[in-house]
Amino acid sequence: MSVIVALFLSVLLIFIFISLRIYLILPTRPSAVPQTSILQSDRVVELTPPENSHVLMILGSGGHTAEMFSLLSSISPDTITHRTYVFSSGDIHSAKSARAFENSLAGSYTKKSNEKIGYRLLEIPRARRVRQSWITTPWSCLMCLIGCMNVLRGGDLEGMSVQMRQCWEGRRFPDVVVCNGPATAVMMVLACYIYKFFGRCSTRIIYVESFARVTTMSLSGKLLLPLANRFLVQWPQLAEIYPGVEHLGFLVS
Amino acid sequence: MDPKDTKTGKGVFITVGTTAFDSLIEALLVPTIIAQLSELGYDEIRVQYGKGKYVYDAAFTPELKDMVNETGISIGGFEYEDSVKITEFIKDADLIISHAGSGTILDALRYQKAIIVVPNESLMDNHQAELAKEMSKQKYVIRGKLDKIATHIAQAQTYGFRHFPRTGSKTFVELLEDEIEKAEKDKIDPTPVNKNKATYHQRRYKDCDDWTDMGPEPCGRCFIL
Repeated sequence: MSVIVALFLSVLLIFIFISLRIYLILPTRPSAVPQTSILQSDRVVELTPPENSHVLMILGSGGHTAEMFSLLSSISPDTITHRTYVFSSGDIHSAKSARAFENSLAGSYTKKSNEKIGYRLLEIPRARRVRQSWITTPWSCLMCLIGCMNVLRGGDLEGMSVQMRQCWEGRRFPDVVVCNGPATAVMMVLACYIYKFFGRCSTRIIYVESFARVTTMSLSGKLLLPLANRFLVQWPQLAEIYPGVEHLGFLVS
Repeated sequence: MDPKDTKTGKGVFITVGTTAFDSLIEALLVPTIIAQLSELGYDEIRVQYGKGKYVYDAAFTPELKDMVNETGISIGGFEYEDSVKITEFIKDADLIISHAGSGTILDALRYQKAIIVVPNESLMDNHQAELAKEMSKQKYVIRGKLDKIATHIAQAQTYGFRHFPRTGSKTFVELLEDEIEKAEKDKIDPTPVNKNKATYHQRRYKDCDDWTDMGPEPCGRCFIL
């Protein structure tokens, strides 16, 4: 009898510990702050910009990818020095777009040392292919999750040149993950949270809902609503329905 | 001489995206519309028909062919091209008649083109129709109906299209940089639990700031110094 009680108590304790940990790592977004004043209020806290930073971008199918590069069109490669692009296996279009985008950045470096860092363009297994049976889906989701975790901890760097490894050492985990809708984004954020659970990274997540979504949220958006540190929508109608999301006008241009 | 230099007329670009939107092609490739477009000074029509090749081919009835010969308008169609080429077509055209795909709408707005958006009502997941409605409410686009397309084309000639703001990416990048700074601030100290070993490495290789490689061998960062 006492064994059962002890077992029950320990399970309860573990459960409490796990929920506490999850509660601690979940982002707290002010939901009562007027939408327009968020940017300004954040700017009051003067932080010194870091020398270099690592941003991971998740590319999805056609429309999502195009929108992502529209969002990023004015980044400076000297501020965001380490860039990782992730695309689903077989999505050659997204890979091509990423290369074209990097080529367009090539001219805007001002520091030579940043130029040799380069960028990573990585392929991860698809979470679910079109018309894939639901029985095998958990398996492919798991493979996708493992792929995402490997990307996050920089597993691919092992196979790269010494110079590349030197440049990326200490910046393996991204500072910020930017995503805007594809299913892969959900897996990537999940992988982020697994590392966060064990205190391995403090990556922040920015989710941008597609410009095409006026009054309804996409499925990925609904799933990532409690997990993203910043959740941006491009239409005021959506900001009214979902508390805690921000509307800062159109972000595509 | 390059034929582009001699081009005097204007171009129309009709696009249906990756889905089949046969009724749009059926409504546009008729003699009356062709006559109207020619009268308004358009002499080139490009059609991206997607999965609707049979509708496009079927549209060329003897009456339509007569009208094409009479007006001298040139009509060309293709199934699909990659997004860079599609953007080129949008850039070259003066009037875009499109399904409600967000990519096409954004491209048209970027190059400040007159655009008539016809939502495909046969699609079940109809957030595209909503986008078209909102965009037309704010006067960025004209929302068209299939049976009134002639009126919309006439309207597009003088319509005061609003310019789409070009500051979106700047706002986003500002926010992204804010987040990077915050991430830097609450970065978990990369110092490993076993501090003695790490300091050993650092003692050995003075000023080496690499905490991850703790061995007695010099790491990549020691080499840099």
